[in-house]
Amino acid sequence: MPEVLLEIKNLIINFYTYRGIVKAINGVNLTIKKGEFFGLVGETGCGKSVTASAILNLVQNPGKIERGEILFKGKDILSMNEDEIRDRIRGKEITMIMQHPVAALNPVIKNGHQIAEALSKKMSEGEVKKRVIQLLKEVNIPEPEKIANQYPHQLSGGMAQRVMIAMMLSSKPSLLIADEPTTALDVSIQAQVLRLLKDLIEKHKASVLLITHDLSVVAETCDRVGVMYAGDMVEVGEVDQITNNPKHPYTIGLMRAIPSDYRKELVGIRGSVPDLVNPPPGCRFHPRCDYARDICKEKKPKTIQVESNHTVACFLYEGRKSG
Amino acid sequence: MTFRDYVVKRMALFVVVIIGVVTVTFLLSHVIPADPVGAILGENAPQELVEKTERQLGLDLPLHQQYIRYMKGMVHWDFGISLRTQKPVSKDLKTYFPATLELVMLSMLIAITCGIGLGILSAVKRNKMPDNISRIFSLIGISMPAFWLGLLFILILYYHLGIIPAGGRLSPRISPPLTVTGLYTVDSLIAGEFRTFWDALYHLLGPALVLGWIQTAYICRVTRSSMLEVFNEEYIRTARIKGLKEKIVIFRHAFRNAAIPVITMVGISFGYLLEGSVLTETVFAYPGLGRYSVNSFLSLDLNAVVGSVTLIAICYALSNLIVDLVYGFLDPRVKY
Amino acid sequence: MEDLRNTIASWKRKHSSEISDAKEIIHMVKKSPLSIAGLCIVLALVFVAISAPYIAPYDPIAMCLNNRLASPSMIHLLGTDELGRDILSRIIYGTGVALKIMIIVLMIDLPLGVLLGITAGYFGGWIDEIIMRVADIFMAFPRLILAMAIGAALGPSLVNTMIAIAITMWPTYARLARGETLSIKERTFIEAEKALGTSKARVLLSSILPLCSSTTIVRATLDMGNVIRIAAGMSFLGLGAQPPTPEWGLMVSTGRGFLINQWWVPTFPGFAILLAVFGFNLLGDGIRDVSDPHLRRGG
Repeated sequence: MPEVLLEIKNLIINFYTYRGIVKAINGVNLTIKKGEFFGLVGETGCGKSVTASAILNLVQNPGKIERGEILFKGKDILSMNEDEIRDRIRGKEITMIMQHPVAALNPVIKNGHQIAEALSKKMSEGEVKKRVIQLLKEVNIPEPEKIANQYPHQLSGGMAQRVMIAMMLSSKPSLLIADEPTTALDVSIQAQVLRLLKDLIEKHKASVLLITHDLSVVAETCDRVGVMYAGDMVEVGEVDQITNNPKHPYTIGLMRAIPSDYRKELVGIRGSVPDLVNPPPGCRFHPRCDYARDICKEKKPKTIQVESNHTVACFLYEGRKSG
Repeated sequence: MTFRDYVVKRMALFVVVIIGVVTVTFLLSHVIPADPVGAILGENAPQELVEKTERQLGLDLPLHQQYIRYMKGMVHWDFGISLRTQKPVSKDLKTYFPATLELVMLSMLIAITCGIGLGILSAVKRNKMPDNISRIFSLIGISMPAFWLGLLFILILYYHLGIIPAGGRLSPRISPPLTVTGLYTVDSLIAGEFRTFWDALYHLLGPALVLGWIQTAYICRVTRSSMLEVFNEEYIRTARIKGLKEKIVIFRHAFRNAAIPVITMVGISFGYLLEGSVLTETVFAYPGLGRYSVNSFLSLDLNAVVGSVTLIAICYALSNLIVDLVYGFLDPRVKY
Repeated sequence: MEDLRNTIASWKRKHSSEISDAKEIIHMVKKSPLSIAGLCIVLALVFVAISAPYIAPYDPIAMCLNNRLASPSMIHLLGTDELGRDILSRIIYGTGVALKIMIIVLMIDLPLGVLLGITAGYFGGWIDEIIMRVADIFMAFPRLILAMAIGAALGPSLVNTMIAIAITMWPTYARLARGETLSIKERTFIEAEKALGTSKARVLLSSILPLCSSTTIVRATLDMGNVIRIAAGMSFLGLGAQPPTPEWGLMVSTGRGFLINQWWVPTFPGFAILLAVFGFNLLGDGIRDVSDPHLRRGG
């Protein structure tokens, strides 16, 4: 049984906006094991990116982490002081790549220098240059010397994402968070970048937290999947379990919405995403749920284990073992 | 567009603007004024004197000939004789311009160092005490009438506290250094006359602090808002994710991008300083181009008016050109 | 009565999106202490200006030569000037003068600048080039210098000062309006109107103009204080208001000689300038903060 690398316990995050308090993350639990490719899926606005930011303790104003623990290799990141996180965790043990790679690079600094920033301070200038070129080659960038000397706005989306990957894998992190890394890229480039990521991760034996709203990407690359809805983790399981045996009504709805050969019509989930300033009481999904009962409107469902490695937060499965 | 294209385009615009400026000044000084001769000589001047003055000023020629004569003089930097000082206007300009240049440069130095420093501090400590104080201070600074602040400084710093001198560029018993640049501070340093240097600086203090305070306010505001905008950008997030020290994030990543609008503001500030020098020099009796131009306006000394306005406008256009070129050079998105 | 209600209701429906925008802006203004403070100052200024005849203790131009240069006291709260006139009353009346100047300048400038800008943006080509080059030339002069030159050319008077300041400011608004027009021009609904055969003038006035107006108004609020300040500067130099008009800049100028021994004479009017400009800048800043989507984020 591979050891647990990251464990998020009961994370609660609120955003204090002028419209009111947005209860963005409502008590999320998540476990990622060593060497595991974990997919986090959900609609836009369900809190996936905020959860990722929380892992690095980089939740931006006006967001605030109210409660919870984020245990990385046993130590709680949220109770570390800023210097420790900056020196040991960010850019070293845990790194992140994001959705818009060109925007994520500083427009007035050359690409090579930006990668060099992520490297150890102890290397000499010549060593740094060599390493940067080597990193660029690893991510299959042609003419690495030329690219290193250019500026980010001269790169295409796919190239920029490779530069980001090179930058973020340079320190051989234990966990790479990938927040919608291919969403803004052309479909043909998407597959390339994903494959590259998978290869590099296997090579470095790192774990990945892949955040996406695209279920097909998850099905292809992930080992385990977590489904989020409106700030709650509603279902977690192995990728086969989630795709073939979804338990939570929301997951079922998601699976049904994917067009396939033997289902001609597009079936959506009725209703729309709730306003998190005034979220629905009890289970946040109940207004859109075909199986909702009275208890769903009053109490928040506990997480229940339905099979090994597969948990779900829904009153439908009450009576089985608690997870 | 390559950098070279950008430079060429910008220089062409500069030339067009200069020609336009000169033309507008001509229109303002030769076409519109009702009776410049009457203003100079008074209502009851004898006819021959009026005609003589008219000929002297070239006012008897048809308009387009006046324009040509004017442009010809322009190229040789000849604006004619100042009716007020009875010296060639270009000589007057040469005497007074360095004084203003010195004042403007010192004020700009104060404004850039204090403004950028305060602006960055303000942005980093957003909504906390240093930010709130600096915002109020800047808001007051840009609302301040320069001439009134000058008077206050004279009242408090000169009369009550004796910190700044009464006026002028140098104390009565100190003679100016040998002219190399015309800037007393620089020239006295070159000549090694330290007493003269401190005296010149002492006289610059009052007006430079007034102008400097006001421009610090403008630059501080732009720096602050530019930094805040940059802080919201994705690449700042990337820098933090990389675990870089906050100082590096602020200066190497944020400020290098935020600097671009700040540089534009510095160019605009230069224009405000030229404006401000007009008011401040009048208040502090500082013998610079600003005071000269005001006196020219008030006495309808046409040649001097044309000369000073043209010089000021050209300086301003030049500073804008330099700012644009520097901006094009710094931002790689323009270059490549 | 029924008709009126119907008209109002249908007007509300037609402009529902603008109304909800306005509501949101008002909501945010309420939350911003800057805007509220600025608004208070500005409203106070307007109140003082309108009620000047009722609240000013003395006639602003009544001279009282035995009581020249009296220091502030219970009889004359801010003292008297070199002709024995009550300074407080002159400052109060001066508020009206300052506001009048500002309103007239903006009323000339905004329509002029916006119209020229929209024309330049919409028609493009050489019309655009000409208008923009002329704007560039005017912007090549520092504002006060150009205003001084125009003021001197036209002759020293308050009216000429207003014209001069207006001439220096139109390029800013023209630029702004042109920029907005260029981005709006490409939008589909303009294409639709053209396809329907709406005349160019109608397209300009009914569709493009309203969309330009919000940026223009925001910019104008930022400029309001500057107008007052530049006008005061012109009067200070002798190019603007002429005696005995109770204009603040002029008061500082005539009082300047008494700075040392009767400091109140030039100081209080100058402070009034500072306060007024400060109030408008505060308000302008507040409005700019709430209408700029960037700055709305993050507390």
